[in-house]
Amino acid sequence: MSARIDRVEVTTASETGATHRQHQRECEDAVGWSGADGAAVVATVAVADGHSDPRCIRSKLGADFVVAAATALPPELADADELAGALIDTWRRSVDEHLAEHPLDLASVASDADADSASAGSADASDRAEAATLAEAWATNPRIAYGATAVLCRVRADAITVVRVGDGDIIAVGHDGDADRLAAVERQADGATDSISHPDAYELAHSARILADAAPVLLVLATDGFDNAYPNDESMLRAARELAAHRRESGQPIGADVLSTWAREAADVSGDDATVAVVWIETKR
Amino acid sequence: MAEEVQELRSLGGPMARRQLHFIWILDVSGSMRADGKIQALNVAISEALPSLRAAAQGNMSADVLVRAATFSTGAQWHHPEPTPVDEFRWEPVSAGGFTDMGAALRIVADGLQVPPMPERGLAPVLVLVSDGQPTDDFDEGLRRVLDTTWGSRAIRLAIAIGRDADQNVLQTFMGHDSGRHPVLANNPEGIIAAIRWASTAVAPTFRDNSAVGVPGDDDLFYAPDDVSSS
Repeated sequence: MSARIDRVEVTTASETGATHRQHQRECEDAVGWSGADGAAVVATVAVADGHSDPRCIRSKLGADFVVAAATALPPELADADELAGALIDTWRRSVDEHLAEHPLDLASVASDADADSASAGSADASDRAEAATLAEAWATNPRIAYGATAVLCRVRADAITVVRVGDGDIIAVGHDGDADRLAAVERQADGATDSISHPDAYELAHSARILADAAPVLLVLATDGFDNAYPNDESMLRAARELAAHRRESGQPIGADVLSTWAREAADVSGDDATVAVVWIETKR
Repeated sequence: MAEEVQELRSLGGPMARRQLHFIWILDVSGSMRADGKIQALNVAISEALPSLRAAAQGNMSADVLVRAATFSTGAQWHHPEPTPVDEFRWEPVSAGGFTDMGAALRIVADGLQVPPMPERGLAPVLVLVSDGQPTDDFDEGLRRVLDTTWGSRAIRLAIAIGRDADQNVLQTFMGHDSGRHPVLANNPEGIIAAIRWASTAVAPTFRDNSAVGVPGDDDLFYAPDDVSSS
């Protein structure tokens, strides 16, 4: 008899980064999940990180669109590539509809820049150059204004599928206690990241599928605000192992307060928004 | 429950702000004796330290560490240990000798190895200050810097003191496609202003209009056809 995933526990937390707080900016991450559809899907969980890039003035909205798109994906989708494609297609539709109703307005950005530069004493030439850069970027690809990274996992009875676009983290802890990154990509120099807003987003998406027989006990989906708070690549793997051990030993669901404390510390240290979803997975064998 | 939070507070081990290494690379050749240039340089770096500290404080995600190398006939570390910016105190330099800029870049390349550089961190900032032309193999020195992982990621700035400075060499150091250009300082006041400008490089470019700077967090998005890098 083959294994079957029949239950999950999902806990999430999100904290605004210290740098964002310093600049009076909201948290530009998003997290959410949807439960069982009564048939194949046990849960769909998504975490998104809006880019802190001057061109991405609606990145928080873009991150929200990622979560909304992920949690509304049709239940019949199971193939990793199909899931990634549907996520990107749905996100693009949401962005395009919003753009149609709310066109990008360079004048309003310029007004904001004027106010900022007046206090900072910046030169007009700098403002004009920035406005020209924005105009060119938005003319080439208006979706860039909504730029975000995306990680999602879809847990079905028969398998788990994960999708990643950009530098979010997806970590799986197995029954043996080992932790590995799924659909991993090499971090780019200088912290640059891929984006769901990129015209080649389909090619930039990385995915993986794990059958229920090999299902992990724990998945951690996190924005890079966590990983950036640590001195090396191993630390997040260790954190995931510790969370799995804690859940196993306590017999209790991982508390939101535990994750919030962790996220707050990461947001203070990395300066970046820190958002995480932890999925405890129970499989009948 | 309070115990549980305490127990898991150190999930994954200790967290740490990322290091940002700031390295002065200073010309102390004989020509720097003329027109009070070396005195102005010493004053400028001392007076720019508060600006450097203020810029560092504005970058909440970084621990800024400062070093300084000098070059004349040969090169040496003047402040060899990466020192937290709050603890950094400038020891004045004196001038004399040739302009062995390549030698300076070679020792900086050694200083960009891990350690003393961290495995992870923010892009280092290298500031080259010169009033003349290299008297040794500049290209080899620059190649050594760029061959290091951190050197290839570094933000490289240059200050040209006086009209005899080789601006082409300084632009080559900064990168011809970097979008930045050497700052020209023709008098002591200009040197002070230029040094202060370079000190702002440790401030985050978090949606602001800074002329120089490093990312305040890792969310900057560079497409392959990035229009803002041109």
